[in-house]
Amino acid sequence: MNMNQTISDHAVHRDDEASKIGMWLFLFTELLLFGGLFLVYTIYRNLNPDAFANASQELSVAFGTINTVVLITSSLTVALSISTIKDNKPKMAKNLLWLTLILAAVFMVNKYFEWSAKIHHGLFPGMEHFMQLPPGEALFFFLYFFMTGLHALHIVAGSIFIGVVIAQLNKGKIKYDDYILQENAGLYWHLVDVIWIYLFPLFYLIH
Amino acid sequence: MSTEQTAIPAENFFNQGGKGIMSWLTTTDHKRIGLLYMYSIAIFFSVAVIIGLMMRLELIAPGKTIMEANTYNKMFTLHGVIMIFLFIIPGIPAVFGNFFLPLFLGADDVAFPRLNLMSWYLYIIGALIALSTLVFGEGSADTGWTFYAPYSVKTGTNVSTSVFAAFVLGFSSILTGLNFLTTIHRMRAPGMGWFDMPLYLWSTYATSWIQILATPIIGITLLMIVAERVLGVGLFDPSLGGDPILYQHLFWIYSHPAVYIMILPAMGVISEIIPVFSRRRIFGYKAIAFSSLAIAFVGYLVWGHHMFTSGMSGPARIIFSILTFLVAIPSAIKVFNWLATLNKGSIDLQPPLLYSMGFIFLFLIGGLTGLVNGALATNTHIHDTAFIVGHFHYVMFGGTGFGFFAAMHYWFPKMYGRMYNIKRAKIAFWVTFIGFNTLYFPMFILGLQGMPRRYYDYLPEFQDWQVVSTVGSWILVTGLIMMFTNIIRGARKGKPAGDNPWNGYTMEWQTTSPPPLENFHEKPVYKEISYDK
Amino acid sequence: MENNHSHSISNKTYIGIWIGLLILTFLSVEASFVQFRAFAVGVALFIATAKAFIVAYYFMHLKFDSKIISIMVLVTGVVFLTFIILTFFDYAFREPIV
Repeated sequence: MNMNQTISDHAVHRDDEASKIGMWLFLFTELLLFGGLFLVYTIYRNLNPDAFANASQELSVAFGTINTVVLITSSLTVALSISTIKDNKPKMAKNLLWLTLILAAVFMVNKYFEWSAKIHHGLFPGMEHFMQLPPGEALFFFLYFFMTGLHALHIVAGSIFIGVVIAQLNKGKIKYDDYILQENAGLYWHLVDVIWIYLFPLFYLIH
Repeated sequence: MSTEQTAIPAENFFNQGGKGIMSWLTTTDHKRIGLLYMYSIAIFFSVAVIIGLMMRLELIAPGKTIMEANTYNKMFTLHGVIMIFLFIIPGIPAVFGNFFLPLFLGADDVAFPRLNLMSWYLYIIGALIALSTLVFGEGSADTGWTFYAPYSVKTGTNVSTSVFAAFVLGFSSILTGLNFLTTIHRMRAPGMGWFDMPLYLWSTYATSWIQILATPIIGITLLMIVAERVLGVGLFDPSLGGDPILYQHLFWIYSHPAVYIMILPAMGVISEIIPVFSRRRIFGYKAIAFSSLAIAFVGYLVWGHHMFTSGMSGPARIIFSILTFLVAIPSAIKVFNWLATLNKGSIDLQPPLLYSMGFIFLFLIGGLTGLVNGALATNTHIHDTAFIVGHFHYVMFGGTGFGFFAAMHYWFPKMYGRMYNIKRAKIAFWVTFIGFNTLYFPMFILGLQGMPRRYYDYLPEFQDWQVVSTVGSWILVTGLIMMFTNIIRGARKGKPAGDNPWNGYTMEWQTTSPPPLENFHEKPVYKEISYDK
Repeated sequence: MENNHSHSISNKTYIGIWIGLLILTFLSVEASFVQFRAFAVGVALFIATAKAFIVAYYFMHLKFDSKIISIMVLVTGVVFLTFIILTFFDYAFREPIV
């Protein structure tokens, strides 16, 4: 996220490859941030296989699938926007990024409805129904809210990043021969997608 | 002293790039940021030393001496948190790494200068949050720096704030690592291949990878603790089906590799100093370079040795014990190579080498007692005793701390363009060294006799060694004061040192002291220079 | 500036990749209703990893970037797997609490 500031420092001798390596290293830290949670998930699911399968029935496969499709599509639009800026079509690139933001909004709205339904049932950690759940199922819902919540935060961060890119496109600071910021925003967005690719089967598809 | 010089060159980074405090607080110059780190680290180090001194004073006699048990618990927590997160982890990389990494590479700065400044601000913010627990809220944490669940989620003290501080500091550490890795990959001087890099860079490289790949785990783990405290229920709660031991796994998955974040840079410093003061090429360059990477990797595999008595399964304990012994191999390779470099060298026992020898001696004791801890059977006996405290102080303070002092005395003339008083530096070394051993060696004996760690009270039969240890703390602090006053006096009034007072051959000695803002007057090209040729 | 090389993927290929990802998604949903028993997790993770690989290789340009980045990704993956495997050495051999 902070890479965008540092690029301008090196206006004289800019090094896109360095920015990209920096971004990837940052992505590794994000991966391992979720990695810690995946580790907890793996251990607890292994300890409570039946409880996790039972609790998973509460989640709607349809909602999850729709959101997966939405995110994959948003990854496509980001990738396309980068290849369009390379072809020197900034307007098209911008439109594709707006489309990405719209898809991100759709994802968040879906998430909102999904979460509200669960909270309505008192499944949020600390709520009454949650406290009465059998042991393993409570862990499932704690992890569900923690991991999808953290993921949603990353969607917000990624959207802000893409917003910055759109602003820079408007100013003409990102152009066909200088688009590393957009590439890095794309990398971040794809990472958020990759994390969801794992969250989806682990939470929604246990039967 | 080879080159006598009468004046400090006017073109140096202290003069260039603006004067006044604001020019320092907004600087993106890696040398200034390095110094900012050094001054702030010096302050926090002093605070933690004072806390340590008070803990030692409490232990001079059984029963309550100067503080209550609960105060003592808060003291060792704060001492640990400050020393680990504010001094040892950032110490060498953030100060000397920042200052010298671009100089070693022949570059004008790190890859992301503004990010570098941001790391410093995160460090300061994290530090202030950590210290704020002293004043605000329900008192500072009393959990020990490990924040073990379930106690850390049940205690009434201000754990959330301390944990959040550690999170912010972790982020600062990650960004520094990211910056250094990118810089090493992209900004080496023309002609400098990977195996032409000074060994310090290899250890920095390995360290940075650990920072990147391990720190996020502690970040998320600490967030889980915060979540549990906020929501009232959480992942490590057995009544929900959780497992408190899993917290220990997650904590040590980071915190054991973090031990290598602490020691590897010091090893890099020693690998730079020894060849210079024995006038010989380092013995086994590649072996040292690869052993840094090996330590970094094997360091990921051994965290379970902190948990031998926690209720972990038997096979896991055996596996972690075996893996732990593997770390001894690359460490011993390094020690062997340092000694082999000294062998038949033309040794010049200047303060930096003196501190390096101190490092090797103390690290050897720390490392060998580490094997005692790593062996499953003996560990069961000495777990949670003063023996452990002695061990990690030998490694962390005797190792990294002395490495830091060695680096300080070695690069000081380059950083300030002046020289400290050599004789006083040597005296300060001996006082520190003697104080150190008087303070920490009795802990091995006490631990074997059964003195538990983290207790403010003890049985009367332990008192003799406790008194010796406390007296040692006074000697040690005297030595530290002598060292620091000598350094401060040198920075202000020392004789101009010249560009290359030690006859070093790495790139940082080829520019003026202190270096100009852009580091080199003309873009350097790497040439292999060594004493053998 | 090595970066301006233009061997990028055509839009058509991108869309093909997108369709492939969608197919894998539906495959994964369908597979979850089949009773694979012990293999269910394995199948789900295998498909997810295939998808992640496709995203990283094409969308994230690992195919075209310098090899060093791919190596770094690999190292990260290996380290993370190590964490999981070693932790399992504990839980797999825990004796049940009576």
